[in-house]
Amino acid sequence: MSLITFENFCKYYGKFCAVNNLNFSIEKGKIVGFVGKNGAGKSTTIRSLLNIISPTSGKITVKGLDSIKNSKEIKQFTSYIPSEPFFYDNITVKQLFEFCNKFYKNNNTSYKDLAKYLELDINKKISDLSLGNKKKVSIIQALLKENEIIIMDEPTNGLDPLMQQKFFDLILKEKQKSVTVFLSSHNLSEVEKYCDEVIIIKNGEIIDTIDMNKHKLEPKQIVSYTTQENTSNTFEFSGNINDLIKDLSKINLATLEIKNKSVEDEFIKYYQED
Amino acid sequence: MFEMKNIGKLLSFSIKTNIKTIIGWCIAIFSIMFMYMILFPSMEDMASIKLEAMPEELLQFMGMEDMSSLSNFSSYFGMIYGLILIAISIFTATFSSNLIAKEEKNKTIEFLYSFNVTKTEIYVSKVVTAVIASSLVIFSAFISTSICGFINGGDTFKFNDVLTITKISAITVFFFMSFSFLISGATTKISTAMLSSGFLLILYVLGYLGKLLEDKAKFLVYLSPFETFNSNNILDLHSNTIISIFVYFLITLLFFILGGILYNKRDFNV
Repeated sequence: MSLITFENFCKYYGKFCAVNNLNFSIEKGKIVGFVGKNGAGKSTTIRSLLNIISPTSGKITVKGLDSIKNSKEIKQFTSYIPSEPFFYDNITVKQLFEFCNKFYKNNNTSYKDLAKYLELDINKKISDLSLGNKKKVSIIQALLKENEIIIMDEPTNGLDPLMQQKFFDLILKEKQKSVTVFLSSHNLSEVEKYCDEVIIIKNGEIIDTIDMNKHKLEPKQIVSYTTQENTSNTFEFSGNINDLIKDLSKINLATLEIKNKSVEDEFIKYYQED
Repeated sequence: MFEMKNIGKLLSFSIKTNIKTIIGWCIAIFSIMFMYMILFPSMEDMASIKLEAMPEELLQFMGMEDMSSLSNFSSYFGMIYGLILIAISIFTATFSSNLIAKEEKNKTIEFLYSFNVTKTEIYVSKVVTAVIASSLVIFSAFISTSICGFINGGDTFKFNDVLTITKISAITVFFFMSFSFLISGATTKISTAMLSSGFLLILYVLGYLGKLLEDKAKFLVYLSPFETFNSNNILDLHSNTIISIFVYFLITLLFFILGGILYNKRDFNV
């Protein structure tokens, strides 16, 4: 069942086309990665989904609700963790969460428990927080309400490795409750590790969609070798590894490297290619 | 279209995050007003010596052309308040613009708009915040004046006159507030606070020119709420003033509504 749908979505800033004719959908209960270079159109897509900006043409629907007309209803079950969280400097973290709680109905999660888990001092003023701690505030804010969708833009940016792990443990718990997660990230290893599907965007257009579960079932190798005659070759291999070894044994090798192809390797080409 | 509950929540938060600015302005205006009004008894003698030496045009520009005003507490208040009103209007114009523009400049709008609220609810909460803040600043001036009036106003202190001048001249403040909301509702890509303050100063100068040029360009007076709602006009309450009150009220309302419509339609500048 499609929870979020983009239909012919375009966004122009003046004459500049930030996103061009985007068509994709996100299914319920999945963690979907959104990968692309800086300026590829990721943040524009996310901000349009949240009605912070509106599409130039096309339509975005969430649970069948229009992202512009029904923005308020959508936000009742949607949370957002921005890449750079900005809050009001002159209040404390506690005051901020208490303000959030005024809007969240039926929230069973206590900000105190989450703050304790993420090691955040709620009595500090926002202006005294580091980027990592501001990120924790944003994460707690997102997890305070009963979500059906969590939209995240570079969520682990600024967090130390332990906190990143703790954060994804929380996200996986949300996934168990069938929460859909839309994750925009440059951290390719976390995308590889946690996402069910990855959408790749480049120059405002989707260029690939990767089913991560299928990808994990069909491992590929990257084989690189040089011969005694000083010629070198690199290729991708999928199939019976014994056949590969047999074929390689016929070559007068000087060096040989066989490594599993990670999704990170797959992604990096989209960053490199023009 | 909007929920009052949400506006209430946003309003209390907006007041909380701006409380220091509001209190600061209240104290400043209270103090300045007190400083001027407490000197009322000694002002008449001082004015006849010092102000007579000043050029008439300069006194006119400062709204002090009528020396007899200095012997009447209400008129003296009207003169001083005419100048203080410029400061209050500048505060209102910049404060109102910043209520909208700063949210986008500091990107806190992403946080605020992540709640299940509409743009209209955010806009209305900002308008009400500005109305409360400006009313408190105006009220500070009024309280300060009233205290001085009871202390040293003597027979010429008329509480109702001070109240009437304060109430009606508040239209000036709300007019500039609505202009600020119109501009910042339309865009935050330009310095809306500067634009609003510039608009205010232009209208002030136009009003002064209208008064200076008298018959040649008297219409200019009506373009300036500072002149239209000066203390003499307020206390006399001619039919022209009543019509002006009505027209300025309509324009103010129109600016507020138009600002809201534009704010609702445009993208946030983040």
